[in-house]
Amino acid sequence: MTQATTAPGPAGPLFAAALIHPMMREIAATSTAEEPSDPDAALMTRVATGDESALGELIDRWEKPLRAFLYRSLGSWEDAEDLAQVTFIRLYRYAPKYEPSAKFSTFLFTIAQRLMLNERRRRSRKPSEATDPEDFSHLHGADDPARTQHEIEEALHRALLDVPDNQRTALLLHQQQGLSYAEIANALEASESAVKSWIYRARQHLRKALEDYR
Amino acid sequence: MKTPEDPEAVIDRFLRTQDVPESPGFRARTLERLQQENYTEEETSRKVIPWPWLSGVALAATIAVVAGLAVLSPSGAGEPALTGTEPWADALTTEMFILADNLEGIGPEVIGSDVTDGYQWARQL
Repeated sequence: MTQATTAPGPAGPLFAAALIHPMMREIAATSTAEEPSDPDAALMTRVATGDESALGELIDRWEKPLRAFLYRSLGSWEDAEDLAQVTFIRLYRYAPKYEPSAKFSTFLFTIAQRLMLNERRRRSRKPSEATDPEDFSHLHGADDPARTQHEIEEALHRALLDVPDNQRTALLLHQQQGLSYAEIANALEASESAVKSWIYRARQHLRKALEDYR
Repeated sequence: MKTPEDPEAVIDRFLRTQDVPESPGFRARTLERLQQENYTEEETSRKVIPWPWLSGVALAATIAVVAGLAVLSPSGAGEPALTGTEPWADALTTEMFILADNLEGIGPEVIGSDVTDGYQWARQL
Protein backbone atom coordinates (compact mmCIF):
# COMPACT_ATOMS: atom_id res chain seq x y z
CA MET A 1 0.00 0.00 0.00
CA THR A 2 1.39 3.33 -0.88
CA GLN A 3 0.66 6.82 0.16
CA ALA A 4 1.54 9.84 -1.90
CA THR A 5 3.25 12.52 0.08
CA THR A 6 5.07 15.70 -0.53
CA ALA A 7 8.16 17.06 1.15
CA PRO A 8 7.43 19.25 4.16
CA GLY A 9 9.41 21.93 2.40
CA PRO A 10 9.92 24.48 5.14
CA ALA A 11 9.67 28.02 3.88
CA GLY A 12 10.81 29.90 6.98
CA PRO A 13 14.23 31.42 7.69
CA LEU A 14 17.11 29.45 6.36
CA PHE A 15 18.92 27.22 8.75
CA ALA A 16 21.51 24.62 8.08
CA ALA A 17 24.59 23.04 9.40
CA ALA A 18 28.28 23.22 9.01
CA LEU A 19 29.33 19.63 9.38
CA ILE A 20 30.22 16.42 7.65
CA HIS A 21 32.44 18.22 5.27
CA PRO A 22 34.14 21.64 5.17
CA MET A 23 31.97 22.41 2.19
CA MET A 24 28.95 22.37 4.46
CA ARG A 25 30.27 25.42 6.24
CA GLU A 26 29.70 27.39 3.10
CA ILE A 27 26.04 26.61 3.44
CA ALA A 28 26.11 28.58 6.67
CA ALA A 29 26.23 31.85 4.83
CA THR A 30 23.59 33.82 6.66
CA SER A 31 23.60 32.82 10.28
CA THR A 32 21.41 34.45 12.84
CA ALA A 33 21.41 34.35 16.62
CA GLU A 34 17.63 34.52 16.82
CA GLU A 35 15.52 31.58 17.89
CA PRO A 36 14.75 29.56 14.79
CA SER A 37 11.17 30.00 13.66
CA ASP A 38 11.51 27.25 11.08
CA PRO A 39 10.06 24.17 12.83
CA ASP A 40 12.78 21.91 11.44
CA ALA A 41 15.52 24.21 12.65
CA ALA A 42 13.87 24.46 16.06
CA LEU A 43 13.76 20.68 16.27
CA MET A 44 17.42 20.47 15.29
CA THR A 45 18.29 22.83 18.12
CA ARG A 46 16.62 20.40 20.50
CA VAL A 47 18.28 17.40 18.87
CA ALA A 48 21.64 19.12 19.48
CA THR A 49 20.98 18.88 23.21
CA GLY A 50 20.43 15.14 22.90
CA ASP A 51 16.63 15.29 22.73
CA GLU A 52 15.70 12.05 20.96
CA SER A 53 12.01 12.91 20.90
CA ALA A 54 12.88 15.92 18.72
CA LEU A 55 14.72 13.58 16.40
CA GLY A 56 11.60 11.45 16.37
CA GLU A 57 9.56 14.44 15.22
CA LEU A 58 12.05 15.15 12.43
CA ILE A 59 11.83 11.51 11.41
CA ASP A 60 8.04 11.79 11.21
CA ARG A 61 8.30 14.89 9.04
CA TRP A 62 11.04 13.77 6.67
CA GLU A 63 10.97 9.98 6.57
CA LYS A 64 8.90 9.68 3.41
CA PRO A 65 10.63 12.33 1.28
CA LEU A 66 13.95 10.83 2.33
CA ARG A 67 12.94 7.27 1.51
CA ALA A 68 11.52 8.43 -1.82
CA PHE A 69 14.82 10.12 -2.69
CA LEU A 70 16.89 7.10 -1.66
CA TYR A 71 14.60 4.68 -3.46
CA ARG A 72 14.96 6.59 -6.72
CA SER A 73 18.73 6.65 -6.14
CA LEU A 74 19.24 3.02 -5.16
CA GLY A 75 16.31 1.18 -6.69
CA SER A 76 15.43 -0.79 -3.57
CA TRP A 77 12.98 0.02 -0.80
CA GLU A 78 14.95 -2.07 1.68
CA ASP A 79 18.18 -0.23 0.97
CA ALA A 80 16.33 3.08 1.01
CA GLU A 81 14.91 2.34 4.44
CA ASP A 82 18.25 1.22 5.82
CA LEU A 83 20.06 4.30 4.51
CA ALA A 84 17.26 6.58 5.71
CA GLN A 85 17.81 5.25 9.22
CA VAL A 86 21.54 5.83 8.96
CA THR A 87 20.88 9.34 7.66
CA PHE A 88 18.79 10.21 10.73
CA ILE A 89 21.42 8.73 13.04
CA ARG A 90 24.06 10.88 11.34
CA LEU A 91 21.75 13.85 11.67
CA TYR A 92 21.64 13.22 15.43
CA ARG A 93 25.43 12.91 15.65
CA TYR A 94 26.09 16.11 13.72
CA ALA A 95 23.35 18.12 15.42
CA PRO A 96 25.72 19.78 17.95
CA LYS A 97 27.58 21.32 15.02
CA TYR A 98 24.37 22.52 13.44
CA GLU A 99 24.44 26.22 12.66
CA PRO A 100 21.64 28.38 11.35
CA SER A 101 22.12 29.30 7.73
CA ALA A 102 20.47 27.21 5.08
CA LYS A 103 17.40 25.16 4.50
CA PHE A 104 17.10 22.08 6.68
CA SER A 105 16.32 19.95 3.64
CA THR A 106 19.65 20.94 2.08
CA PHE A 107 21.38 19.75 5.20
CA LEU A 108 19.44 16.49 5.39
CA PHE A 109 19.80 15.59 1.74
CA THR A 110 23.50 16.43 1.74
CA ILE A 111 23.98 13.78 4.41
CA ALA A 112 21.74 11.38 2.51
CA GLN A 113 23.43 11.85 -0.83
CA ARG A 114 26.89 11.28 0.68
CA LEU A 115 25.73 8.06 2.30
CA MET A 116 24.06 7.06 -0.95
CA LEU A 117 27.26 7.65 -2.92
CA ASN A 118 29.21 5.53 -0.43
CA GLU A 119 26.62 2.79 -0.79
CA ARG A 120 26.80 2.89 -4.59
CA ARG A 121 30.61 2.79 -4.47
CA ARG A 122 30.44 -0.17 -2.14
CA ARG A 123 28.09 -1.92 -4.54
CA SER A 124 30.26 -1.17 -7.54
CA ARG A 125 33.14 -2.99 -5.87
CA LYS A 126 30.97 -6.08 -5.49
CA PRO A 127 29.95 -7.82 -8.70
CA SER A 128 26.20 -7.50 -9.01
CA GLU A 129 23.94 -10.17 -10.33
CA ALA A 130 23.67 -9.90 -14.06
CA THR A 131 20.21 -9.15 -15.36
CA ASP A 132 18.96 -11.19 -18.23
CA PRO A 133 17.98 -8.82 -21.06
CA GLU A 134 14.96 -11.06 -21.58
CA ASP A 135 13.65 -9.77 -18.28
CA PHE A 136 13.06 -6.42 -19.95
CA SER A 137 11.71 -7.79 -23.19
CA HIS A 138 8.22 -6.70 -22.22
CA LEU A 139 9.42 -3.11 -22.32
CA HIS A 140 10.09 -3.38 -26.04
CA GLY A 141 7.72 -3.80 -28.91
CA ALA A 142 5.88 -0.57 -29.26
CA ASP A 143 2.57 -2.20 -30.14
CA ASP A 144 2.28 -4.36 -27.03
CA PRO A 145 -1.13 -3.48 -25.63
CA ALA A 146 -0.15 -4.69 -22.17
CA ARG A 147 1.92 -1.66 -21.57
CA THR A 148 0.62 0.32 -18.70
CA GLN A 149 1.47 3.48 -16.93
CA HIS A 150 3.23 1.33 -14.37
CA GLU A 151 5.55 -0.01 -17.06
CA ILE A 152 6.35 3.48 -18.24
CA GLU A 153 7.25 4.46 -14.70
CA GLU A 154 9.34 1.33 -14.36
CA ALA A 155 11.21 2.22 -17.54
CA LEU A 156 11.82 5.74 -16.24
CA HIS A 157 12.95 4.35 -12.91
CA ARG A 158 15.50 2.08 -14.59
CA ALA A 159 16.65 4.91 -16.83
CA LEU A 160 17.13 7.14 -13.81
CA LEU A 161 19.31 4.51 -12.13
CA ASP A 162 21.47 4.46 -15.26
CA VAL A 163 22.43 8.12 -15.24
CA PRO A 164 25.60 9.24 -13.46
CA ASP A 165 25.21 9.89 -9.72
CA ASN A 166 25.63 13.65 -9.87
CA GLN A 167 23.04 13.99 -12.64
CA ARG A 168 20.49 11.81 -10.89
CA THR A 169 21.01 13.44 -7.50
CA ALA A 170 20.74 16.94 -8.97
CA LEU A 171 17.56 16.02 -10.82
CA LEU A 172 15.94 14.42 -7.76
CA LEU A 173 16.91 17.19 -5.38
CA HIS A 174 15.52 19.78 -7.77
CA GLN A 175 12.37 18.14 -9.02
CA GLN A 176 11.48 15.67 -6.31
CA GLN A 177 12.60 17.63 -3.26
CA GLY A 178 12.26 21.17 -4.53
CA LEU A 179 15.76 22.39 -3.74
CA SER A 180 17.04 25.41 -5.64
CA TYR A 181 20.00 25.28 -8.02
CA ALA A 182 22.10 27.15 -5.45
CA GLU A 183 21.20 24.73 -2.68
CA ILE A 184 22.00 21.75 -4.87
CA ALA A 185 25.28 23.36 -5.91
CA ASN A 186 26.20 23.65 -2.24
CA ALA A 187 25.20 20.10 -1.48
CA LEU A 188 27.08 18.65 -4.44
CA GLU A 189 30.07 21.01 -4.30
CA ALA A 190 29.51 22.23 -7.83
CA SER A 191 28.66 25.41 -9.68
CA GLU A 192 25.08 26.29 -10.42
CA SER A 193 25.75 26.03 -14.14
CA ALA A 194 27.08 22.50 -13.66
CA VAL A 195 23.94 21.60 -11.72
CA LYS A 196 21.72 22.98 -14.50
CA SER A 197 23.71 21.03 -17.06
CA TRP A 198 23.43 17.79 -15.05
CA ILE A 199 19.68 18.20 -14.71
CA TYR A 200 19.34 18.85 -18.44
CA ARG A 201 21.36 15.75 -19.33
CA ALA A 202 19.47 13.56 -16.88
CA ARG A 203 16.15 14.68 -18.34
CA GLN A 204 17.48 14.00 -21.83
CA HIS A 205 18.28 10.45 -20.75
CA LEU A 206 14.76 10.00 -19.39
CA ARG A 207 13.27 11.40 -22.60
CA LYS A 208 15.17 8.75 -24.56
CA ALA A 209 13.75 6.04 -22.30
CA LEU A 210 10.28 7.26 -23.19
CA GLU A 211 10.85 7.12 -26.93
CA ASP A 212 9.65 3.52 -27.17
CA TYR A 213 6.35 4.55 -25.68
CA ARG A 214 5.50 7.35 -28.10
CA MET B 1 -0.24 1.44 -25.80
CA LYS B 2 1.32 4.66 -26.86
CA THR B 3 1.32 7.55 -24.49
CA PRO B 4 -0.31 10.60 -26.00
CA GLU B 5 1.06 12.73 -23.17
CA ASP B 6 3.88 15.20 -23.54
CA PRO B 7 7.02 13.31 -22.42
CA GLU B 8 8.07 16.28 -20.31
CA ALA B 9 4.82 16.07 -18.39
CA VAL B 10 5.28 12.32 -17.91
CA ILE B 11 8.80 12.85 -16.59
CA ASP B 12 7.68 15.66 -14.30
CA ARG B 13 4.93 13.54 -12.83
CA PHE B 14 7.30 10.59 -12.39
CA LEU B 15 9.83 12.75 -10.56
CA ARG B 16 7.40 14.63 -8.36
CA THR B 17 5.31 11.72 -7.22
CA GLN B 18 6.56 10.35 -3.96
CA ASP B 19 4.68 7.12 -3.63
CA VAL B 20 6.28 5.70 -0.56
CA PRO B 21 5.17 2.40 0.94
CA GLU B 22 4.17 2.63 4.56
CA SER B 23 6.90 1.51 6.92
CA PRO B 24 5.23 0.90 10.26
CA GLY B 25 7.53 1.49 13.19
CA PHE B 26 10.20 3.28 11.16
CA ARG B 27 10.61 5.96 13.81
CA ALA B 28 10.83 3.46 16.68
CA ARG B 29 13.27 1.27 14.79
CA THR B 30 15.50 4.22 13.93
CA LEU B 31 15.60 5.46 17.51
CA GLU B 32 16.27 1.95 18.75
CA ARG B 33 19.17 1.64 16.30
CA LEU B 34 20.54 4.98 17.51
CA GLN B 35 20.38 3.85 21.12
CA GLN B 36 22.02 0.56 20.21
CA GLU B 37 24.88 2.41 18.48
CA ASN B 38 25.24 4.77 21.45
CA TYR B 39 25.44 1.80 23.80
CA THR B 40 28.02 0.03 21.62
CA GLU B 41 30.15 3.18 21.43
CA GLU B 42 30.05 3.62 25.20
CA GLU B 43 31.04 0.01 25.74
CA THR B 44 33.89 0.31 23.26
CA SER B 45 35.25 3.53 24.72
CA ARG B 46 35.15 1.99 28.22
CA LYS B 47 37.27 -0.95 27.08
CA VAL B 48 39.84 0.93 25.04
CA ILE B 49 43.23 1.40 26.68
CA PRO B 50 45.05 4.48 25.39
CA TRP B 51 47.02 3.21 22.40
CA PRO B 52 50.34 5.08 22.82
CA TRP B 53 50.66 3.98 26.41
CA LEU B 54 49.81 0.38 25.58
CA SER B 55 52.13 0.20 22.60
CA GLY B 56 55.06 1.67 24.53
CA VAL B 57 54.68 -0.74 27.42
CA ALA B 58 54.14 -3.73 25.15
CA LEU B 59 57.19 -2.93 23.09
CA ALA B 60 59.35 -2.34 26.15
CA ALA B 61 58.18 -5.64 27.65
CA THR B 62 58.88 -7.51 24.43
CA ILE B 63 62.34 -6.00 24.16
CA ALA B 64 63.08 -6.87 27.77
CA VAL B 65 62.02 -10.50 27.29
CA VAL B 66 63.96 -10.94 24.06
CA ALA B 67 66.99 -9.22 25.48
CA GLY B 68 66.80 -11.42 28.56
CA LEU B 69 66.72 -14.52 26.40
CA ALA B 70 69.70 -13.25 24.48
CA VAL B 71 71.71 -12.64 27.63
CA LEU B 72 70.89 -16.08 29.03
CA SER B 73 71.72 -17.93 25.81
CA PRO B 74 74.66 -20.37 25.88
CA SER B 75 76.74 -18.33 23.47
CA GLY B 76 78.48 -16.54 26.30
CA ALA B 77 77.78 -15.76 29.92
CA GLY B 78 76.71 -12.21 30.40
CA GLU B 79 77.14 -11.35 26.74
CA PRO B 80 74.30 -10.48 24.44
CA ALA B 81 73.76 -13.36 22.05
CA LEU B 82 73.88 -11.20 18.97
CA THR B 83 76.15 -13.58 17.17
CA GLY B 84 74.85 -16.76 18.76
CA THR B 85 73.75 -19.93 17.09
CA GLU B 86 70.05 -19.04 16.87
CA PRO B 87 69.66 -16.82 13.80
CA TRP B 88 66.03 -16.07 14.59
CA ALA B 89 67.01 -14.82 18.03
CA ASP B 90 69.74 -12.61 16.58
CA ALA B 91 67.44 -11.17 13.99
CA LEU B 92 64.66 -10.59 16.46
CA THR B 93 66.92 -9.03 19.04
CA THR B 94 68.48 -6.68 16.53
CA GLU B 95 65.07 -5.71 15.25
CA MET B 96 63.96 -4.95 18.78
CA PHE B 97 66.99 -2.77 19.39
CA ILE B 98 66.43 -0.87 16.20
CA LEU B 99 62.78 -0.42 17.05
CA ALA B 100 63.78 0.82 20.47
CA ASP B 101 66.19 3.22 18.86
CA ASN B 102 63.38 4.63 16.79
CA LEU B 103 61.13 5.25 19.73
CA GLU B 104 61.79 8.11 22.06
CA GLY B 105 62.13 7.12 25.68
CA ILE B 106 62.79 3.45 24.99
CA GLY B 107 66.52 2.91 24.91
CA PRO B 108 69.06 0.87 26.81
CA GLU B 109 68.32 2.76 30.01
CA VAL B 110 64.76 1.46 29.84
CA ILE B 111 65.57 -2.04 28.64
CA GLY B 112 68.40 -2.62 31.10
CA SER B 113 72.14 -2.11 31.20
CA ASP B 114 72.87 -5.76 30.41
CA VAL B 115 71.99 -5.24 26.84
CA THR B 116 73.76 -1.95 26.31
CA ASP B 117 76.44 -3.62 24.19
CA GLY B 118 73.83 -5.15 21.95
CA TYR B 119 72.03 -1.88 21.65
CA GLN B 120 75.21 -0.10 20.64
CA TRP B 121 75.90 -2.83 18.14
CA ALA B 122 72.44 -2.54 16.60
CA ARG B 123 72.75 1.21 16.29
CA GLN B 124 75.73 0.75 14.01
CA LEU B 125 73.79 -1.36 11.54
